[in-house]
Amino acid sequence: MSAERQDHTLQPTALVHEAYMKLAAQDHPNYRDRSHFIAAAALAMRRVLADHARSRRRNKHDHARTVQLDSIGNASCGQELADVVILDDALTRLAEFDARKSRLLELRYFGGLTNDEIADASQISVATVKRHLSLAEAWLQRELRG
Amino acid sequence: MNPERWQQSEDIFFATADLRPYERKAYLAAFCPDPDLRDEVEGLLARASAVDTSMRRIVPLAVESLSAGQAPEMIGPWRVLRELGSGGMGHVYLAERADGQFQQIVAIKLVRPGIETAGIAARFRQERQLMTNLDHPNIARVFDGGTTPDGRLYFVMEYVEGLPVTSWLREHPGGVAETLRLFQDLCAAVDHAHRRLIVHRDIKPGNVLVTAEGVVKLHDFGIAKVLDPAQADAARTSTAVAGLTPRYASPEQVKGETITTAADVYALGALLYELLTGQPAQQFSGLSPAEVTRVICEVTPPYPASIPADLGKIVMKALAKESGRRYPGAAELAADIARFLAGRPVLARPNSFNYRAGKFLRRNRLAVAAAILVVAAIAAGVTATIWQARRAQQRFAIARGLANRLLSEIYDESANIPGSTKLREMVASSALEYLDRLAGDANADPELLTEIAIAYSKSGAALGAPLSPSLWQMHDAIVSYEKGAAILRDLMRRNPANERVRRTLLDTQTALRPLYVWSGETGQALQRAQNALQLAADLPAQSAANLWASYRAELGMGDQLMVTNQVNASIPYYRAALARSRQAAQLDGAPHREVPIACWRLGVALRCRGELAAAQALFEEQLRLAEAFSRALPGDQRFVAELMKAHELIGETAGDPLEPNLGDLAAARRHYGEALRLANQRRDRDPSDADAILATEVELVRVSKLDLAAQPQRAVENLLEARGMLAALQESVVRQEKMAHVGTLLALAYLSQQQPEKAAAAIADAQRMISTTGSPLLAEARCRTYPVLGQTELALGNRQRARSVLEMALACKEKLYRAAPEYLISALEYSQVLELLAKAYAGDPAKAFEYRQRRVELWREWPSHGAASEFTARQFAAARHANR
Repeated sequence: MSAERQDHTLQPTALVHEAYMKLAAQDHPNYRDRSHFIAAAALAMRRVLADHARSRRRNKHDHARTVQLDSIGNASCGQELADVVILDDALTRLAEFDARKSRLLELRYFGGLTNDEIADASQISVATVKRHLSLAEAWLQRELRG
Repeated sequence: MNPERWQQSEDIFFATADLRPYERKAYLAAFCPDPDLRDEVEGLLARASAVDTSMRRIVPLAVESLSAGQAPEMIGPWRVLRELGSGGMGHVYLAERADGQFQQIVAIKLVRPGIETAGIAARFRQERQLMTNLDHPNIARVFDGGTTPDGRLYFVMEYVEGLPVTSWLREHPGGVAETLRLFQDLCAAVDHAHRRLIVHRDIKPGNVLVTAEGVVKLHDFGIAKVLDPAQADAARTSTAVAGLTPRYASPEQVKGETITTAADVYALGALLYELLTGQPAQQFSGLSPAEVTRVICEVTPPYPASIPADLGKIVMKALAKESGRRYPGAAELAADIARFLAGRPVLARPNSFNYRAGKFLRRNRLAVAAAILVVAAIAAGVTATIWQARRAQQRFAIARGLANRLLSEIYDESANIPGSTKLREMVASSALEYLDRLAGDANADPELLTEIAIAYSKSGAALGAPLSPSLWQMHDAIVSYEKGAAILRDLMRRNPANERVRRTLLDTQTALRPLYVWSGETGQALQRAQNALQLAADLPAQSAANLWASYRAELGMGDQLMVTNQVNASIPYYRAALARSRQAAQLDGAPHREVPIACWRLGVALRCRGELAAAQALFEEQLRLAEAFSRALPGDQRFVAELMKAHELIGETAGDPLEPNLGDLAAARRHYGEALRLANQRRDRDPSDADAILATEVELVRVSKLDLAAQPQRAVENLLEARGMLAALQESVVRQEKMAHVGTLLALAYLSQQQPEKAAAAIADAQRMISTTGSPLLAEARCRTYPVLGQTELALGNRQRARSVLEMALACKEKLYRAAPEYLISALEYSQVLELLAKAYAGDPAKAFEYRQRRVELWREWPSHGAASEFTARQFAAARHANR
C-alpha cells in the first residue's frame, strides 16, 4: 500500500478534548471577551501538547529498548516531540525575564493567532505586537536552532 | 539572562531594527560600547531579518506526531514486519503470523490512538461483520478484526502488492480503453458493496490498487455504513467529515448530510476525471478549509475537453453537485460506460446550471478553539452574568449577542494561520453540536461523559436563563438539559453507586422543572419534580453535596405544588427542604444563603393558608439571616434585595390592611418604611436603573396601603408619586399592571376621603390600562378592579350599576376561591365582595341576608381548608355580626 496522503485531511484529535476539558472545568472564569478566551485556549493547548509530548517521549524511551527502530520506521517521531518540549521549555525560560514576550509567542505558536488577534487578546497595538514578536522570535530562533 | 540586561538588549534592538545597516553600525558604535551587548543585539537582529519559518511547524508537526502513535511489535497473533503507510484513520503494517502455524502475510490497519471512541468502536463492530462478508475479486478481503491489549482497534486484511490506479496507469499506458476496463471492474466492486447496503465513502487512488496482473483491488471500506432502508433517517453521522479527502469528497459529505450510494458515484466520477484527463477535477492548493468546502459545493469542474464528448458527459453527470442528478449507483455508471464503449448513446446529459449550495452547514470550518470558546462562554461567563445579576432582556441580549458574535466571527475566519490549523479544525458549528459530537465520540469514560453532561446543563442554563426573551430559547434549553440527562441516566445505570452522576442528573431535573412550567407543560414539570425526589431518595445523607441536592429536589416539589395552587400539599416539602438546608449548612460548617430562602418559601406557603404567626416567625428568621449576610459582605448588592423582601413580608403579615394580618399596624409601618429606605438607597446609586425605580415604586405603594384608612391624603400623595415613577418607564405589560394597581388603590384612597368622583376617575383609568390583551397578569388585575369599582358606584349612589359590577366581581372571586380554597386571601376577597353586595342590596333585605349568610358559612367552613387563627376568628365574628 502506498503512503499517499492527500493535503487538507480534516481530523479531530483527543488532544482537543483535553484542552476543552481544562477550560470548561473552570467555574465562572473572568473572561472579558473573545480574545481573552482565545488566549486561554492557547495556554490550554500548550499545556496539553507539552504534557503529552513529554509523557510520550518517556514511554518511547522505554519502548526503544525493545524495538528496533529501523524495522518500524518511525524514527522521525522523536524529533517532532522533542521540538515541542524544547519550545515549551524555551517559553518558560523567556517568561522568567520577559513574561510579555513569552505570552505573545504562546499566542502565536500555540494559539495560531494573527498579529491583529494577538493585539486584541493582549490589549496592545498591532505595531507593538509586531515589534515584540520580531525580537521574541529572533531570540527563540537562537534558542532552538543555535 | 537577567531582566535588566534583556531590557537593554530590547531597547537597542527596537532602536536599531528599522535602521539601515550603516546607520545601525553608527548607532551601535555610539550608544553601545559594551561589546558583548553589541554582539548579542547584532545576533538577534540578524536572526530577525532571516526568520526560520520551520519553527512555526513545530506545533502542527507535534500534533500529527502525537496523533500518529507508535508501531507495535505484535498485533494479536500477528508480528509486525514494517509499516506500509498511513492514512486518515491510522497506520497500515505488513505482518506475518507469529505462531508459525500458518505462512501468511497480511496487511493490518491499526486505528490511531485518540480516536478510540464509542462511535468508532460501534462502527468497527458493525464494519467487521460486514467486511468479512464482502467477497468479491475486486475488493481486498478483510479477514478479521480485533483490539490490542492497550485498547486499539485493528483490521486484518488481504495484503495486496500493487500500485494506486493513477500510478499504475502511468506505468502501463493503455489509453482510454484500458482505463475504462479497470474502471468498470472498480464499479463492479463498488456495486457489489452497494447491493449489500454498504457505501465506501472514501474512494480515492490510494484505496484503488492495481496488481501487477492488472487486477483492481478496492481497499479500505473504512467508513462503511449500513444503508438500511429502514434506518434512512438515522443515516446522518456526526463524524461525516472525519478523514475526508477533499478531492473526492461529495458536497453532501462535506456538509455532513445524509450519505447515499451517490456519494460513491461522485468519488468514482472524480477519480475517472483524473484518470482520463490527468488532472484532478478541482484544485485546492493554497485554499483554506472554508474555501475548499465552498469549491466542492459550488464550483463546477471544468468540462474535460480532451476526451470524447460522451465520456465527458458521463464524468460530469457523476460529478453533479446534487446527488439526485448523478447516477444512482456504480452499476448505472458502469452501464453508461459500457454504452459508450459499444458506440451507443449515453444517458448522461450536460449540466445546464451550477449547483448552488442552499444552506451551507459550516460545521467543518469551525476551529476547535472556537468550539471551546463558545461552550466556555455560554457555560461559564454568560451563566454567571445572568444568574447573578438577574437582569432581563438587556443583559441577556448582550450576552447572547456576544455568544452569537463569537460563533459568526469564528465561522467566517479563514484558517490561513500556520501552526495550529489542524488543531483548529473541528467538526462542530455550535456549542450543542460540538457537545453532540463529543458525546457521540466519547469513550465509555464516565468522567468525560459527566463533564459533557454538565456542559449540556450549562448550555441549558444560559439558554433558559430567567426572563429568557423567547420560547425558542427555552426549547433549546430544555433540549440541552434533556441531552445531558440522557447521558447521565445511562451512566447511572452503569454505575448506580456513583453519587456525583446521580446528583448531576438530579440537578438537570430541578433545572428542567421551571422551564417546563414556563412552556406550559405542567405534566412534564411535575414529572421532573418527582424524578428529582426519587433520585434524592437514593443519595446517602452524608455529604453536604448530597444534602444540597436533596434540598433542591424537595424545594422543587414544593415550588411545583405552589405553582399549581396546592398550598397544603406543598408545606411538607417546604418543611423538609428547610430542615435539609439547615442540616447541609451545618455540615458545611458555614451559614448558607439557601437557608433564608427556604424560610421564605415555607413562610409564604404557611401564610397562604392562614398560619400567620408561624409564617411571621420564619420571615423574621429570614430577616435575621439576611442581615447577618449583609453585615458580613457589606458591598454585596444581592443581600439588599433579600433584606427588602424580608421587610416586605414581615410588614405584610404584621399589618397590611388589604391582606390577612396580625393586627400590628405599627410593625407594618416600621418594616415597610425600612424596605422603602433600602429601595431609595439603591435608586440613589443608579437613578436611571429601571429595576431600581420599579423596586422603589413597589415599596411606595405598600406604604401607601397603610394610610388608606386613617391618612388617605398621604396615601394619595404617595400613590401619585408612584404613578409618576411608572409613567417615566418604558411601555410594558408589567408597567400596565402596576399602573392599574396604583389606580385601584388611588380609588380606595379617594373613597376613604369621601370623594367618589375622583375614585371613579381613578378606577376608570386603571381599567383603561388593562386592555384585552389576554395576558394572565392583566386578567388578574382586571379581577381586582371590579370590587373597587363596585364600591365606587355604591358611593356614588348608582346602586344598579354597583350590583351588576359586584355580581361580576363575585363570579370572579368565587371561581378563584373554589379553585384553591386553602388560600386565605381568596377567602378574604370573596368575603369582602359578599359584604359589598349585601350593602348594594340594602333595599332588598332578603337578598342582602342571603349574601351575608354566605359570608358566615364561608368563614365557618374555612378552617377545614386552611389554618384557623385569630384573624379568621375575627372574620367569622364580623360576618355573624353583620348578619344579625
